[in-house]
Amino acid sequence: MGLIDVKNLTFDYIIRDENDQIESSVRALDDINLEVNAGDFIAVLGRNGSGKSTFAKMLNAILLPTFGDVLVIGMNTKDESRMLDIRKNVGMVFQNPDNQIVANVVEEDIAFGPENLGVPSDEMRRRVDEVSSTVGMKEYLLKSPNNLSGGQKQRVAIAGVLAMKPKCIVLDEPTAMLDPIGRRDIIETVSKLNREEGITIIMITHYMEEAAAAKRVVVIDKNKVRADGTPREVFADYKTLRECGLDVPQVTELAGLLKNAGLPLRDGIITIEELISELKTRKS
Amino acid sequence: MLRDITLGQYYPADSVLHRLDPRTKLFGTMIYIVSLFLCNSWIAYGAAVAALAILIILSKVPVGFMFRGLKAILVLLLISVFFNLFFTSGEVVFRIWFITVTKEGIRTAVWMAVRLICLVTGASIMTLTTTPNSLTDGLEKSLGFLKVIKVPVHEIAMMMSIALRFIPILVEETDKIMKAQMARGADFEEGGLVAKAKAMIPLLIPLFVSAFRRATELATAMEARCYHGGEGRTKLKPLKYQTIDRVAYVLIFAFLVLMIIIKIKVK
Ligand SMILES: Nc1ncnc2c1ncn2[C@@H]1O[C@H](COP(=O)(O)OP(=O)(O)O)[C@@H](O)[C@H]1O
Ligand SMILES: [Mg+2]
Repeated sequence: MGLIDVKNLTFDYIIRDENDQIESSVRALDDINLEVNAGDFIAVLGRNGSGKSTFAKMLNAILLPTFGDVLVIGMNTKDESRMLDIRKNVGMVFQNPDNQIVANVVEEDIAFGPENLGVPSDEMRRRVDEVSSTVGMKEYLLKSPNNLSGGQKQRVAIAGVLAMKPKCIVLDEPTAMLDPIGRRDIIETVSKLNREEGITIIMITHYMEEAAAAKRVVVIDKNKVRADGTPREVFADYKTLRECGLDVPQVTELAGLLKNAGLPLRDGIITIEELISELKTRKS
Repeated sequence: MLRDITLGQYYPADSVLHRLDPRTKLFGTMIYIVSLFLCNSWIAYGAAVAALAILIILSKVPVGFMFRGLKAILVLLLISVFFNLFFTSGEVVFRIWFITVTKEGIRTAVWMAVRLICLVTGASIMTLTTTPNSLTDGLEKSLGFLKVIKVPVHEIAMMMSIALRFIPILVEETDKIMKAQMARGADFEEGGLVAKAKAMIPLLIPLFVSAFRRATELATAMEARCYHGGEGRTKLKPLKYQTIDRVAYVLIFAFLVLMIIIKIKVK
């Protein structure tokens, strides 16, 4: 059993008319099977409308399966009595930094989750101090979130989730609205959490370079899982990626072009560092 | 620039009043307002003004700030002075043409003006020395007893606090949309009332759409962070009465007793 087990998951959005009658339904996820293991760092890729956000919302009982099951540490998301336990263990960070910060002071926003869980005040204080230094926002605890940059707001959102002491964090395109510096900050923070705290990360993104930082890549297209493997394996399969409307990382493409031009490079280069070291060994 | 607007009119300073618990201040303000309505002698009004003066000095808020709130009630103040001054019957002091001013008229007009000024300034002292956040907390805690009669106190406080967070964001967004529309030739200044109202439509529609989108996303984010209403919620910084609050409560009661004695004894 994994940390999260997704079994034959199918989900339809039901669209109702004014009289609450079912007008039509849209299939957003179609028979998804996936096992997430403790300590994983998974990047979920897919073009717009492929069902990524819907998938994310199934993992902590914000949406419930139409068919199939989602089990979080053995708890079924359909079991209403376990809802808070599931949400405490699977935290979520969303795309828009502004629309997920609730309080008017950074420290109070970080404490929002623990407050809902009824954590005692002194324990809460300890957690807020700890997680704010983990994400590097300790100096900003008493500031208003309105005066922070997008990247800083996302770090506050991550701290807010961390304060609930989750086993897993799901991030839905957390960098989509950020500048390059904010993006790098978030990816570094998330990688650190996975590496040092052993928190399982599921990060939805459409930047290939960010996916390359993950341990495992899952490609979703047309509501189905189309590829699942290490970044190297997934990026090696250009054909499937193209079919899913995705590109390989720029550096992988460059390595491919160099190889076609006659340079004897190995397959599966996915980061700039790898290409540089590969070129160096060829030179010597 | 718009990011920095503060809501309410909090004036940051380090004073005894700033340190008081918001519940103490809410209670004190309420007692002060009640005592204003007990006033019916010069001594009583003198005591009310003296108390206010002491509070203003204690608050360390510049006097100019204090009286800013009065602008809003200037018209009301003038009207009430006008009617009391000229339309109270009694012992005539002087008469110009058909206007008579009586001794009672002067007295009522002055009392009325003092009462209104004290009322508004007294309430201002509270809002100037309390951040909107702690005011919300204070309201939630002190009105908690209303839950018994099914008033959703927690929900109202949560709504106020979310409004405080999103108003600056929406103001900034309005500004952005307005500039975008102006760049395409929209005109928000010219024309009559109807033309101006029409010009607002392309501003309001995107604003509403965005506000609803924000609300949906925020609701999802709150659910994801285990929000399930006020039940069983704890606070990072629970309100706690300190020694100064106890002292303040004693003074507030002493003031109320004093005002009642003045009302009974002085005629
Ligand atoms: N609230 C909704 N109501 C109806 N259909 C929706 C809703 N949200 C998403 N969809 C549909 O579900 C599909 C998947 O959407 P989504 O999960 O948001 O994709 P992604 O995050 O990959 O862009 C899309 O076809 C979208 O139109
Ligand atoms: Mg999405």
